Amino acid sequence: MGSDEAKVVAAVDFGTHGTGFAWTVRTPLNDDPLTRRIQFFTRFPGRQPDSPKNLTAILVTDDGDTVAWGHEARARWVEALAKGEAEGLGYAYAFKTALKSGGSMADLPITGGFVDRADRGLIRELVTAYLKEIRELATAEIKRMTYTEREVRWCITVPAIWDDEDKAVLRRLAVDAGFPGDPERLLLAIEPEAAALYCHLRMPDAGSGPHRRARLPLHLDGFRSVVVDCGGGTVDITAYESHGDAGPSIALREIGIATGGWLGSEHVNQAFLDKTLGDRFGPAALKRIERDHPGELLELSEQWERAKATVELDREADAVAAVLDPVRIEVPVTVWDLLDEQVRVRLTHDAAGLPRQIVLPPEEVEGLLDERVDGILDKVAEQLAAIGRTSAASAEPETLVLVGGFARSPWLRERMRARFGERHRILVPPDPALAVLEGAVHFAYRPDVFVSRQAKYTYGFETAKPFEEGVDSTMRMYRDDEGDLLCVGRFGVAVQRMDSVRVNDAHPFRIVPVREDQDELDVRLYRSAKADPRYVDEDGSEEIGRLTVDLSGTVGRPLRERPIMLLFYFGATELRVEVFDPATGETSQVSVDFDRV
Amino acid sequence: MLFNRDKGKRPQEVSIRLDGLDTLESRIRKLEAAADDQRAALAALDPLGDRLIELRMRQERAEERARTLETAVADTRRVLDEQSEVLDLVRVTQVAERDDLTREDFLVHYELAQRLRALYTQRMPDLIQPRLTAERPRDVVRRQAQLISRLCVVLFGPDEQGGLGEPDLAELARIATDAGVVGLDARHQRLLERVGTEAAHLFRAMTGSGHAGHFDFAVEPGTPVDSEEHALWPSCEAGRPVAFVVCPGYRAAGRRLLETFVYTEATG
Ligand SMILES: Nc1ncnc2c1ncn2[C@@H]1O[C@H](COP(=O)(O)OP(=O)(O)O)[C@@H](O)[C@H]1O
Ligand SMILES: [Mg+2]
Repeated sequence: MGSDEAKVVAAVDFGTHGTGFAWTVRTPLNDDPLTRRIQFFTRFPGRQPDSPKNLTAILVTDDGDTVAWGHEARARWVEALAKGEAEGLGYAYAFKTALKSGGSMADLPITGGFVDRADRGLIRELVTAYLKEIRELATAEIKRMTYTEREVRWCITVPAIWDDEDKAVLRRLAVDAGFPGDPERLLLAIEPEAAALYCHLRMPDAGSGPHRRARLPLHLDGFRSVVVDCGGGTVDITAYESHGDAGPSIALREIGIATGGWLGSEHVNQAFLDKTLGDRFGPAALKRIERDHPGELLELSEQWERAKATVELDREADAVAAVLDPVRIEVPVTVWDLLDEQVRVRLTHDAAGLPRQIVLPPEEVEGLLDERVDGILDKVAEQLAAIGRTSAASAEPETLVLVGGFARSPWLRERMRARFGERHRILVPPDPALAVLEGAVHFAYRPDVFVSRQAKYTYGFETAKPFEEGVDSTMRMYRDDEGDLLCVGRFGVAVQRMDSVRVNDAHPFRIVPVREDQDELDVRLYRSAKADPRYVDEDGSEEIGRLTVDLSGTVGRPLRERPIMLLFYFGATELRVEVFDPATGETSQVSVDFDRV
Repeated sequence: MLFNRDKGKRPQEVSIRLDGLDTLESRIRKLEAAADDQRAALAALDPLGDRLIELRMRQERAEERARTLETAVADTRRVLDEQSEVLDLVRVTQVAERDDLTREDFLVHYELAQRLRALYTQRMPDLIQPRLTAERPRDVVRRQAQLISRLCVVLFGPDEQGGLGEPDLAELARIATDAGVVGLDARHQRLLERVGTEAAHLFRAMTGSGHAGHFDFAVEPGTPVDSEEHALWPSCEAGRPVAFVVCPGYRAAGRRLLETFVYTEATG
């Protein structure tokens, strides 16, 4: 099936904290993105009441069977711990972050049982197992509407900081999980791009709404936006500049380097456990509760989670905003019974005579949120300063786009406004928590909506070039079958860092084998942060993958008659390579193997 | 000298001529052989010619059949296209009409339910705290639950058993202040207004969303607590039957979005 015959497009936002699935039907009725109707999946197993995202958590047996996933996995894991039945079980939450090559893991992901978060092989299996569950659920819903699997085009979201290798790994795991192997039928969308797309397509034009609610004008030349995706685990900051020459499509150039940190809203929950409960119960009691009553601890944390999500602010004009209400948390009986008598008396007194309750005054709530909000503001300021150095003095200040679950927090928004609101427009879409997911559906509906991206690195591969006396070291010298003196290990640049690369443009590169009897050519792909690297083994250059080109058809011919064209496509979400053999006139796809490095 | 010379040459010339004759002879033999071959081929040509003609006819017939088939295929494709257009339309309509799917416009109910829960479990307890403190009841938990139960009825109750009636804000104030007996400080006075506004706001959002909303007050006293349908009111004892409903559950478009909060009597 050509991808254009897709009748349904479906997107999976595979988040660090939460994962969601949404889809729509491709029909002329839905061609206008403003009125396009999207279905969100909300009925995840074992969760009541239902909601549009499920927890990115999984519980497996040591035979590799999935016991449960999502919120249910966490509940079952905690139950198994409490009953002492955790033997042979493995639990993981927020394990997506362990996929990123060379990523630091801070206190996430959380794993338990036999799962070791440093075991990348196992983490990858968990990702496959998780994606399999969501795919099956999604497929079942779509099939119920009498569409067939072959009629679906899928899209999975990936963070902006992931490089080509990480994306290739995710794609492979997704295919293992049953998603289609055809890259036209399984797209990857970059999370901040999807979010920006949502704010561009789905929000009303400036004229039709109050200033703050107007759409993100990605079609304006030189328009700069900074997407601040405040999720559960991480906060990711990515800056873009738009090019206005893209007609009905959008041409985005990433400016600055995407940054982020462990600043997500889950860490606020961790602070609640460590500080609020630690201070009140005492560290020893908290340790005991953690060990003996994980279920009750989870219950406490879920109460806080709900209270955190409904914090209200005092918005008196010209006053500094403040959290208005205290937060009440009920202490489960078993936990209450563990506490010292004086602790119980004090807590009851603090709760105006109500037993088994904890009351957090508004200032304490602010303090917990600020555990992470301070860091977010600093990171945003840092990014703004970094990209500010590259912009013209006269340029319009960047628009800040707040998305992700944490962006629902009025406290976070208010502090953003206080710090950046004077200079920058701050745009928060109607439901920031679903911006990435919904944006990914729109991207999958019309993947050609983005026409160009900017190369983050200089890409190329190892090649031999004429030896340059006095420049190249004799260690690199090599004489080919025709007697020419070559320098090996040179960096053959295919696309240069910061070049704007259009999605459908091929970047051709000619290479020639060095021996007449050569029937295969191993091409090593490299990238470098330098604009014009000379060697593949110099500082800053790194090998990112390999590909093998079949030359058996021209064995024995003179080398000059055996050139091969490699066509690189850099502008799509992922790196793609084709081989064109002028001798046979044939073009074939080659897959870059990121694992052989 | 000349003779001699000629004489010496002669036999050579002869032999050359003879060689020439030999060559000629072998050429003639070759030609004859070729002619034989041609004759044989000509002889074979007749049946072959028949077969050629037959093959050509067959090909023509096949082409004719192919043309007919192509027309048929084109017709079928047209029908198929029409049918798949119809199929697509049917499916699109189905997707638009199914009420077990969650469309974007429904998502607001999740948020409403979240806010409703905050109202029940956070703002209302806070609001009646001054009255609770003033009354100094023997069973604080029970009294708190009773007062909040009354707040819920005036805010979401009327239309007996769970319809959506306009929140009664005057009655809200009467309960919170025990008809003016209990004074509210500035913070609680403001909270009273906020609770009223929030209830009115939720009421409008719920009724104006296009999905039928519904409050669940109906739980028979004495029924066992069902963790799927009910949530225990904070500090209530588990494993006991329902004594009364504190806050109503909330449903929209037939889906339960918030459990009914129930009070259970403590043992003894
Ligand atoms: N109103 C709110 N205030 C603070 N945090 C919130 C609020 N609503 C949701 N969150 C948090 O948002 C996080 C989920 O955000 P999401 O963007 O879905 O995560 P991710 O993309 O990392 O998977 C959770 O940690 C949740 O606690
Ligand atoms: Mg996310």
